[in-house]
Amino acid sequence: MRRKEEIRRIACKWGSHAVVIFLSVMAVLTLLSRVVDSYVIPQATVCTLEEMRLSYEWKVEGRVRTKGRRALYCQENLRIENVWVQENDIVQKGDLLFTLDRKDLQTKIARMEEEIHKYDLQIADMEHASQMQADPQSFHADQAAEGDSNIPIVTPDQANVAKEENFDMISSSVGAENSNAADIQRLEKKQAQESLQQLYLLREAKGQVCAQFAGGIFTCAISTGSLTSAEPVLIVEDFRQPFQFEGIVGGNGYSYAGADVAGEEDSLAMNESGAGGSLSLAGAGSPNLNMRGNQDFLVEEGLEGTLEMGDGDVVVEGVKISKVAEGEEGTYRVTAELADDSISRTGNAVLRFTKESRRYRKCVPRFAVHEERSGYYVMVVKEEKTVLGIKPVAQYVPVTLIEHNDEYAAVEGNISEDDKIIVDTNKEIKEGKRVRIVEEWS
Amino acid sequence: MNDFIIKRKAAIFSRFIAKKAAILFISLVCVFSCIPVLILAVGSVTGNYELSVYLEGVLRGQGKTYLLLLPAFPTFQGFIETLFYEPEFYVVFWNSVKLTAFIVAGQMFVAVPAAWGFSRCHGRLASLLFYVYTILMLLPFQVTMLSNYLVIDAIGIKDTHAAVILPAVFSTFPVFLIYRSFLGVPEEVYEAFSLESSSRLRMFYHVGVPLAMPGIKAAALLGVIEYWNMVEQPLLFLKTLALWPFSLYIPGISYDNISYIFVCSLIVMLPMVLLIFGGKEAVSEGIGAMAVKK
Repeated sequence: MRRKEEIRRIACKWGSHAVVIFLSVMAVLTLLSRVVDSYVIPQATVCTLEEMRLSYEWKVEGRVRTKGRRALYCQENLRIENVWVQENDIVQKGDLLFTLDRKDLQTKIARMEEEIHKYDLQIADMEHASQMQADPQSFHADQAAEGDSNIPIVTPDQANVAKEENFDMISSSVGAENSNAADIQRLEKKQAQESLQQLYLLREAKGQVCAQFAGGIFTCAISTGSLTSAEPVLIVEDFRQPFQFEGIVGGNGYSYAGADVAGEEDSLAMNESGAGGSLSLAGAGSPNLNMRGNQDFLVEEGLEGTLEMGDGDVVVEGVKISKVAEGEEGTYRVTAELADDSISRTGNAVLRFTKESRRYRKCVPRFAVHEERSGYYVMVVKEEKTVLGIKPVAQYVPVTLIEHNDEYAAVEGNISEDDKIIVDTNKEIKEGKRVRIVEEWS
Repeated sequence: MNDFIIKRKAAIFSRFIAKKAAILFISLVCVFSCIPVLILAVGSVTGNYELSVYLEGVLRGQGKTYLLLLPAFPTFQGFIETLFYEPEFYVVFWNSVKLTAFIVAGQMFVAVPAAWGFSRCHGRLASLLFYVYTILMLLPFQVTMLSNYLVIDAIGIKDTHAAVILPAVFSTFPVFLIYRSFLGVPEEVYEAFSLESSSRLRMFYHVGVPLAMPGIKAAALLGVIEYWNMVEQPLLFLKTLALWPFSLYIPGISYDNISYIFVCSLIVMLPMVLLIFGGKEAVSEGIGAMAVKK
């Protein structure tokens, strides 16, 4: 009986303690669940509606070039020791372009000198032969006087016979041939002399070839160790000439405007728009929304844009398109003249065109608009009474997409200016689920 | 003589059989009464999908429902999700704790002196008042609901915890229960204390309360059990979700989270089990005191 009482007493005491322990554990778990909740709950970046005009930008990538280019030739078959420039380099007057192998140059000079000497001998020989044809008696006399035993002595009678038989026929043709050959040899000698003079100049310059004017290297056909040829070694853009922008649009990745352009990230749709070589560029779909392009833009002669070179350090506004011509494989070449003082060098450039829409009252960041089968929608944060109190909850609001550019979309729907629209979240959000606003989108 | 012995043995045997049968019957009743708790325990370690299959008939209103005896794939996922990923559960849990604690504390603050007063006053007015009190105790909540609501609305505490706590504090049942305990104290004890002190308050505090403690404990424990599970009062007076006790929250859990129902129910059942385990003697003593006649 006493033992039973003892058990009852212990059970009573233990039961009371267990309740206290249970409540303590629940208090700790309450804190833990709040900590876990703060990590688990989706964190959202929100924005409010903005009233704005949507601006669209199209760009044509290309290069600023000079209108005039100069070709730089060099003596043939000279070995290049070093090339100091490459394509698209900008050089100033006096800058070293390339150097020739000096040993090879010396060899070439020696060979050229020998050649000229050879020409001299050949010309003299031909002149001599020509003289002999013109006056054979005196020629033979001279030969005899010179004691050339190999030459047969011809008597006056024999000479007269030969004269009668052949002279009229042969002497005139042989003499003319010798005279022409001598002229050719002289001409070649002259050319060789000119070449030699140039080689002398190159030797004096220690084989170094420098720029004669400021310009940009357009093409470079030589490389270290190669031999020069009849082709120009360099084509240099002459900066003294006026500049122009040349860009190409179209080709691979571009489709005609009549085609469906949905989901083509950063692509342009293009079609011919009739006479004048103009073309229209259509706004591209967004990368994640699969939106359809909804802005056509006519690129035609006379259209003004802004030219940017380099990293935006050179900006020229009011650049007009001067020519739009069809290129290869569906490409179009866009040319724009540049004012004399606006650009002082060549380089890669982008010609941008902008256009603004009408003013819209409900504009949201483009990434805030989502697409589903039934249409577009945005997720709005609404204050809702939950078990945890009044908490922000994600709510689905269907909208009509009017138009969009890369950053913003104009929409119509049941959203007010005070609504907080979810632009981005770190986790997937669902209708009616709590979200945590961490920052305002800007 | 032999016949008498045989009859005697037969009577003993039949009594033995009857006793065993009664024990068996009571045991079976006990087992059957424990089946819901068993199902709750099994359901709390059963996966959500498995539960939806077993309880399709109950949840969807069509299909079959099977008795949940043993999960095919036991899991503590429901516990983990409820205890760590559902802060809402703790809100409703602590709301229930708060409501119950304030109500029971308030009841003890009001009912013990009231019961003492009734037990010590023996006039006709006191008897009439106690009679009215008894009638009020017999009235169900649904009868007093409208008048409660009007009063609460008039004093401007609607949709607050006070709207639930205040009417419950003045409940008549604990007064009735504790009154019986005070009556169980022999009059000689009070007379003996009167020789020591003439203070009625000291008599209440030093004699009445200690001797009626089983009844007070029983009233408190029964109050905890009653208000821990209350549904009607919060449903009527509390519109804000954040003020709800678990008894309103659990039925609102969606079909996708059936295991929550089992886990939440098991967790909120636990403190009551512990309390009963520790206070069953007090309850039986307190209720036994009610049998004492005036």
